[in-house]
Amino acid sequence: MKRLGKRNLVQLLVTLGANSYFVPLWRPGLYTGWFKNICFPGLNCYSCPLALMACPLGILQHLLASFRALPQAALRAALYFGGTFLLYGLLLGRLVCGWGCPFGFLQEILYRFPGPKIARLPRFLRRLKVLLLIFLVLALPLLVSGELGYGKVWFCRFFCPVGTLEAALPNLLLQPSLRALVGLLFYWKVFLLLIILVLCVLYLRFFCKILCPLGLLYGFFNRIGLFRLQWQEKDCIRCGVCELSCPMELKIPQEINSQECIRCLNCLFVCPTRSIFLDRSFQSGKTFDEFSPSPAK
Amino acid sequence: MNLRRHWPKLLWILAFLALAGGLWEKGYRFVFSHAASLCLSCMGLQ
Repeated sequence: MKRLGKRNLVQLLVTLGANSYFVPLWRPGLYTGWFKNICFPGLNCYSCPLALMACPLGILQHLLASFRALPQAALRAALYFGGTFLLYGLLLGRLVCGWGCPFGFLQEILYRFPGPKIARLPRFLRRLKVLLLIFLVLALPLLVSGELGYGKVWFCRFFCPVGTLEAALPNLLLQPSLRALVGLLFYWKVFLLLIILVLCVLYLRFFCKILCPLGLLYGFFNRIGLFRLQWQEKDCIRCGVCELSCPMELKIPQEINSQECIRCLNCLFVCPTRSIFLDRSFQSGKTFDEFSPSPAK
Repeated sequence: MNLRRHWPKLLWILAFLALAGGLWEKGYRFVFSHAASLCLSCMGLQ
């Protein structure tokens, strides 16, 4: 197995930092301090006994689910959450996925396990996360509500593997009284978690590429956020090393600022001529067509 | 000024305004109220 790189160490530190409330190991409960007012940028369940901060995807769904019953409170929260999320997107974008997401880190560790690997999956499968975002994260929590007007957090409830791994399993272990609530839904989530973890062993960042709605949302900022990549055509020797190093299987430099790029910066580090570099201006990023000079007429 | 190239600046302004408004209106209380209690739905227990 390969040694952990510098980026993996950053991922490890961020994961430990976001999950550093160790009191529940000897006294059951959750952290209820000041940091729970803030959303963590990556996917990290707030019901995890060790979690210090809120999960942005969970809060977004709760917001939408509360719009009918508590429109005033939801609107105030939407301002706060919207501002925070926009800032995360503009400041970091998918750098969160590449460097700071605990579940992304876990997937990279799982892929290091020896065994057969899947080199590529069809690109159209990546549209699954669009469906998950539209239906489970946005539409169903907003549109389907119970008698009191509250909706449900559909993605967390029926799909999110992070909630099962970080919250359900440890809490059931630490709080035996919760075991009476285990039912079909729990078994479904455990089954889904196992399938996803196995696929992550076989295929690098399976969840990020195919299923993650949070990564999809951050992807919209890849061309307009602070962290953007630039490509200097005149320095490029077209060796193709950048493309080989991309964990997201992107065509580089064509897709250098694509929504799918997790900003791991592998392409930047491996480029022998430094033709790929970071652009931190406040202007919007260029498309590949804008990089390339127009053909002479 | 090329608006197409500079419109992200508007997003920055919007982000700061929304965050300031959210803080002023104590929108973080909503976040806290959900994040500081055990979410049975997230765990598949409800």
